[in-house]
Amino acid sequence: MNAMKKVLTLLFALLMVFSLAACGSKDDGQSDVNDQAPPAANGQNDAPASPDVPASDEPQAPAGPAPQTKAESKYVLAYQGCALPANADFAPLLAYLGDPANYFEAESCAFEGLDKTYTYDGVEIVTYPDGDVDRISSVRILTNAVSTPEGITIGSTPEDVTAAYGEEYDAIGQQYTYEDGDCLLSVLFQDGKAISVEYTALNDLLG
Amino acid sequence: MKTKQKHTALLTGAAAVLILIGCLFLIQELMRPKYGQLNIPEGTLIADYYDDPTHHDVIFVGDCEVYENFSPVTLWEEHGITSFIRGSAQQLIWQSYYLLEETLRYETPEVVVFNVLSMKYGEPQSEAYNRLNLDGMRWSASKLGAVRASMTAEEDFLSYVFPLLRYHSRWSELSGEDVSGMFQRNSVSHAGFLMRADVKAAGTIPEGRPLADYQFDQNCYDYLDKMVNLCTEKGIQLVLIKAPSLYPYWYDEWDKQMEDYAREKGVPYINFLELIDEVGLDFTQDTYDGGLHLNLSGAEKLTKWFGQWLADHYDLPDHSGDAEIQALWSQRSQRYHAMAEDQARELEEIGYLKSYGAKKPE
Repeated sequence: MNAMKKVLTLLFALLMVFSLAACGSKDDGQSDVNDQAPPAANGQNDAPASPDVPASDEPQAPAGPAPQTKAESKYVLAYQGCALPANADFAPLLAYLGDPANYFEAESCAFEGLDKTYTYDGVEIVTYPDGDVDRISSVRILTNAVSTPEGITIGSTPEDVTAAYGEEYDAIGQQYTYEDGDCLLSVLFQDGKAISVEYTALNDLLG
Repeated sequence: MKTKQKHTALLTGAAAVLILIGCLFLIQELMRPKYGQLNIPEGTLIADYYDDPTHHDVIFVGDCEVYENFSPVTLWEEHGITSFIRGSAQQLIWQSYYLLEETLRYETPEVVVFNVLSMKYGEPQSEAYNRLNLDGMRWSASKLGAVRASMTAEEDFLSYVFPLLRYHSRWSELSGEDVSGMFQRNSVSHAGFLMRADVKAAGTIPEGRPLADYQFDQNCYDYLDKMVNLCTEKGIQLVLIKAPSLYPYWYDEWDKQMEDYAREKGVPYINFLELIDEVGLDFTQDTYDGGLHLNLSGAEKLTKWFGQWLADHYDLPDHSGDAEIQALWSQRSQRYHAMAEDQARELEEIGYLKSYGAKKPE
């Protein structure tokens, strides 16, 4: 009888220890299968503007001062005088830029949250949900009316791109990519001319 | 005396181990997410199949573009074809393959339909979607293969074997539903079809962004080959389709690869994006989320067209004399139409499908 009590006591003690250890253990960021939001962006909103982000010469800039958003990458597009850093909270930028020419939203299958696409004259901005905040996942130049701060736009040549950004790029087919901080800058060529210039946010879920 | 004591100790130890295993099992069942109660019906789809032991003429495998866009009840009512959808959210091609492999252990359908959108994903994508696809699957060599093929670098195989290791931190989220759902699963699908009767018209869909490489990953082709071989071995007709969802964008370059593949393998490939008018789809009325998925009316239109196509091309069994199948599908039809009426009532009364996971329109 004593032996039985001892074994049972030991087993229940083990069970309790297991449960407590499990509850107290580090969860590696996987606390809930519903937790679909990517990790918070590194950008700090409402912080002073990064000195690396020059203002654009875009015409027809909206009235009032552009929102000041700090970037965590040296690759940032400025559009209508407004910096659009990867992973930045898009709400103040949207308020400044105004209604887009076209808006599209795609709800994810099964989980809550909308990927939103805002198309302006010459630029397409896509956001991803991070809790209640929509953050920039990509900014793509659509026409040669808009160019990067370094002067690259649709129609630029590979030589233009390497002159602007250097030779240290990764090549995937006809695409050159440059990575810095939380942003990937990609330029895709066809017949020796850029057909796509895109800034893509880097984080765990967006790749 | 010593022998008796030894026996007693052994029995006591065995009983204690069994009690411990039982306790851990109960805790695991308690902590496991109950997707039905969490308003994530997509997480219940895979297990729904095991509730239906009857033969199916047609099995669908694939992602949301099958479980939202085809209605097995309509296929039955219009054409007398029995079918089941083994679909799940963002189902990747290796998951489709292993689900098909598992399904063929239970039955041999005449036709298997695979939606090819997942050819765009050559690597594991997301743990959350893996769980929706794999948690409901019964343990078998197929599930083992599916888990191994699906895991992202951050995932741990043991957490699929012992889900408690993954879900132990749900203590603070537990509710009454977690207790009631421990041994009871609420099925919301209709033979794998998820019904949504609301309408949100499609607007302007963004053009696909240019890609550096349009070539599908070899890994995807390998699994598609395996699917073709599996069907050939079992004498099943495989049909490849691209559902008429307007987004995500389906590139012409992708379509050509599928056309070439289908021609080479001698299997049909139907791109429904090219048949939208012929099917009679109206994306101002037949979608509930702006063109990503069809709603009830859209799914019924598509299914009627596809049912006729199946009837025209294959000699599918006549079930008119099978009382068991007639009874099952009659019951299924009643439930289907009752839900359609309930969704219509809810739309009329509160304007959106609150009880069915829809968000209140802004």
